[in-house]
This record gives sequence, C-alpha cells and structure tokens, in this order.
Amino acid sequence: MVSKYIKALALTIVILGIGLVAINYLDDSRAGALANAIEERDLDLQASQQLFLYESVFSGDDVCPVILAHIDSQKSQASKILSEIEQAEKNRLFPDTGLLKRRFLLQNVELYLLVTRAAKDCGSADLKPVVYFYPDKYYCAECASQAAILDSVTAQCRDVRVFAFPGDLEIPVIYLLKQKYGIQKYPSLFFNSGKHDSLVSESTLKSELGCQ
Amino acid sequence: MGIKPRTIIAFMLLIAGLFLIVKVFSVYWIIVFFNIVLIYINCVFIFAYIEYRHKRAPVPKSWPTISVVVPNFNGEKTLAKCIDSIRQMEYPSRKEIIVIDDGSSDSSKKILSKISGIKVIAKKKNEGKAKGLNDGIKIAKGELIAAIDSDTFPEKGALMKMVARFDSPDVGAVTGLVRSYKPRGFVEKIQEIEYLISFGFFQSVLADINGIMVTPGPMSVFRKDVLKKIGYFDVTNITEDMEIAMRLQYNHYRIASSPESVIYTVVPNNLTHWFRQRTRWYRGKFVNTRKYASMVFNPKYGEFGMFSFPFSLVADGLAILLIAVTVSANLENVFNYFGFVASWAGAGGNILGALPTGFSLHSSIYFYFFTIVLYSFLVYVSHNFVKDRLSVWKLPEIIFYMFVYGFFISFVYFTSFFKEINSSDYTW
Repeated sequence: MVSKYIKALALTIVILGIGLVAINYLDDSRAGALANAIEERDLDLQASQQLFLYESVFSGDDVCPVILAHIDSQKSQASKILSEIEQAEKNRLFPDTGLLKRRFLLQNVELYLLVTRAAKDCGSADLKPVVYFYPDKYYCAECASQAAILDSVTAQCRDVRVFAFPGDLEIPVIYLLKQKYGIQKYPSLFFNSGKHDSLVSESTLKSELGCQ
Repeated sequence: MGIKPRTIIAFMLLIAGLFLIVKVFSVYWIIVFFNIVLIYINCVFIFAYIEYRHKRAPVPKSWPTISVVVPNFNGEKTLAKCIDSIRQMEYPSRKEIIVIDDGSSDSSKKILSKISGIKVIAKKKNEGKAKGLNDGIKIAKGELIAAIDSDTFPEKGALMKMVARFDSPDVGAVTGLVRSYKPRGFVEKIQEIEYLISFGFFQSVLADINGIMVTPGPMSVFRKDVLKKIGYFDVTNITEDMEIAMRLQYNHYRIASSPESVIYTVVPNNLTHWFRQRTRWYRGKFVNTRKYASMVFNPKYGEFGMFSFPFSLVADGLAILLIAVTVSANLENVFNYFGFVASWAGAGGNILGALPTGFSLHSSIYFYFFTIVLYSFLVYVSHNFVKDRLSVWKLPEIIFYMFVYGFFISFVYFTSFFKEINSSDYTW
C-alpha cells in the first residue's frame, strides 16, 4: 500500500502543476491585455503619421481638421497603461515588462512630436501639451504627487495633454528634449513655453493652463 | 527588562536574511514555496484522516483506579464548578480528587474548606503548576492520573472515553477534545474554531501516527508509573504540558487522543491576554525544541521524529517568513505612500484623492486558493468530530481564522522568538 506521505507528495505535485499553469495563464492574459492596448496606440499613431504623409504628398489639400480631430481622438488611457506596466514591473508580475514599457514610452514620444507638429502646421491653439519629466530608476515622492495632480488636471481639463517622460532612461529623443528644455532635476514640467523644476500645485497648473 | 545587544543583532540578522531571500528568490517563489509546503503538510493530514476515520474507539475490559489532580492558583471563580464537573464524571472504578492550592491569595482556600470528599494540599506560597501537579501525583493512589486545570469543566463521559484509549501498555497519556467554555466574544469564538481544528482534527490524526506534541493542560490523563519512570513534570518548564508530551515521545511512549471526550475550558477573552498566552506557548516551544532537538529527523522516533516534529518546526518557520515577507514587500510602499500623501497634500491636492490606485495582485497569490480549499475542508471535518453544525453565524470567526489568524500567529512567533532571545520574563 502506498504510504500517505507519497500520496500527499503526488497530490502536492499535481496541485503545484495546476497552480503554475494557472499562474502562467493569468500572467499571459494580463500581459496580453497590456500588449493589446499598446498595439492599438500603435495603430492610432500610424494613422496620424499617414495623415501627415498625405499632407506632404498632396500639399494644398487642407487636412488640418482631420489631423486635429484624429489627434484629439487619441486621448487614450496613457497614464493608466503606464501605471499598469510599472506595477507589473515592480511586482515582477510577468516577464517582458521592460519591452512593453519601452514601446509605450517610444509611442509617447512619437505622439508628443506629432502633437507639436500638428500645433505648428495647423495652429491648434486649443491643445495644451504639458511635458512632465520624472525619474524611472528611483522613487520620488514629489513625482508621485505630481503625477496624481496631472491625472486630476487631465481629467478636468479637456484640452490639456500630458506627456510623461522618464528622464533617466536612455531614449535619444527624451535626451534631446531634456537638453532642449534644460531639465536638471525631477519632477520638472514644461508648459506654456516655460520650465517649472519643482512640484506644481493643481490650482497653479489649472490657472496657468486656463482651465477653471 | 531592556533590549539586549544580542536581540538587536538577531533581529538585524533575521531582517538581512529575509531581505536576501526576498531579493534572491523573489516574492513570487516565496509565496509558492510557502503554500506548497503547507499544502503538502495538510495533504498528509488528509490522507492520514482517511485511514483514521474507519477506526473505532477501543472498549476496555477493566477500569484502572484513577486520581484526578487539580492544581489551583487564584481560581475562585471556577474552582467549585470544576470540582463539581469532576464529581459528575462517570467512572466505574475508584476515583479520588486531589486539589493543590498553590498559594492562592483569593478565596480559593475558603471554597475548598467547604467541599468534602476531596484531598487538599494547601501551599503557603506559589510554586508553579508543574510542582503542584507533581506534589499531587506523589500522594495519588490511582493507577492513572487525570491532570485537570481549575478553570476546566469536562463532560460527564469524558473520563471513561479517555481511559478507554489506554489499550496497550505503551500508551503513556491520552488527550481529549478541549473546547472553549461558553464563547461569547469574538476572541473566544476564534479560539473555539482553533481548538476544534487543533484538538479535534489535528490531535486525532496526529495520535494515529503517534505524532502528538502536547498533552493539553486543561485535561490529560497519564499512567502514573510512566510519569514516575520519566521523572514527573519539569518544574522549570513554562509549558510543562508540552514538555511532558515531548518527554513521553522521547521515551518511546505513545500518546493517544480521544476526540469524543469533550473538555470545556475558560479561554482568554481579550486580544492582549490571548497574545500573552500564545507568546508563552511558543516560547515554551522554542525551549522544548532546543531540549529535544535530537529527535528531529531521527528515524528512531518514527513518524514523530520524521514528520510531526520537524514539519511543525517548518510550519513555525513559514509563519515567521509569512509576516516578514508581507512586511518587507509592503514596507517600501507604505513609506512611499506616506511621502506621496504628504507632498500631494502640501501641493494643495485633495487628500481623499490620494488613495492608492493601480494595486495589482501577484499571480502567485492564487496559490492561496488551494490552501483555502484545504482549510475549509479542515473546518468542516473538525465540526463533524463534535457533531456541531456549521452555521452562517460562525462565518465571521471562520473567515478570520482562515485569512487573518495566520498573520496573528505569525506575529506571535516573531515576538516569542525575540522575547526568548532577549530572555524576557514570562507573563501568563
């Protein structure tokens, strides 16, 4: 007769197997959902780029209304995606978070450049971009507060668009933007052609961005 | 007593060790490991239970004489009721009652003077429960000794059912099913669930594999000649009921269990008292583990040496790990969160809006699912032992037992560990 210790070991191994498969499946689903959200942003960006390409090929056609409408429609859940990726990265929820994060950040940079170009080409005075620099490699309490304040402002002010960039990651465009705006410390904000290198309160932000 | 340098060093070493474990293996694997070991231990118990449940209680051919020894210290509130319950216990052979008043300063002596038909040893000063028990045992005439606390009330049939379990000369002691007496408050109700599981399910299955580690203080029955042979209760030990059980195992005596013998005892009714009692128990376990360390993974001691004793230590280690991992995994978040709230509030933000967002569970947390299923089974089986119905009214304490109790015990282990290293005074 098989001893209870062997039977228990066999059952434990079965449970361990089922558990690991279940965890794998759950992690895959969570990673898959994030990857899908990023994929969708990719398609949106591609569509925007095509609009600019169209503008340069068929110069003369007024594509500005379409470009502005399209960029406006991309008011995606960027901060939600970033926070999910960062949670996953911090808690080591699943592998490849680094790759997802890099793709997301590159998309963000691209979107910022497109918005800036749209403002230049089409003069979209309504759109108010806020560039926010924070550190990725260490925790900064002020930056967490600043992020929460920015989330709150974005939710209240339709025209405000926040672009959050981790200043200490080696992404060439972010490096160039830091040079351009003279960013030295975190958190730093750049909006209305001015740099703010300390925590900016919700009321100050709202009044300076003309959102009450 | 202040904190000694060795305690600080031990604390720092433990934290450093745990930090290393968390960093090297990650929280993911620690949670998986924690649950898998618990699942294995519980699976062994379930298979042992499957073998055990078909066994019937033995029927004795003769009834040995018995002496009931009751150590009492300031037990005026329960003493008379306790003696009354002992008198009402049915027993077909001679039963004597010996009460040792251990220097009580309350009205215990007066109460005892009014009760006839019992032997009383009145001590002038308090010498401890173990010494009192030994004094009682030495004058006892019975072949068996029933040691009963003065705040304990056994059921009528408890003694006969327990004595029936002395079915072979190698049975040195028999334990019963200790239950919480009239549990009213939440703390008492949690202990009711805990006692049903520990003294109902676990103790019975452990007895079947001869793995019992404690003969509960409220009531246990011993062979007098065996106690004499192994040197009576250890008067220096703070958990003499555990020490005597370990010594019985060390001397190759079996400890049987009689889950059908119900013994009611008064349990701590508030958190402070409960915490203090458990801290003493676990400190006693540290002391006894050191004393009987040679039995761990020693095949000479059968399933006690190879499974019950070592795996109880593994479970203790896991309990400490559980609290340490939980704290270390969240400590950073807690500090970060307070820093965040402070600067958010300072920046004129709405404090209510600063609640944490984006909280995500680690997938390995789902391993707790299996542990919860096993624990639910244990709760069910334990209630079956005493033919108690599981009602929805018991849900709060059952839920607490399944989800929070582990953290409480974990904290008790942690405290006991450091108090023992610090050699702090024992409190009851």
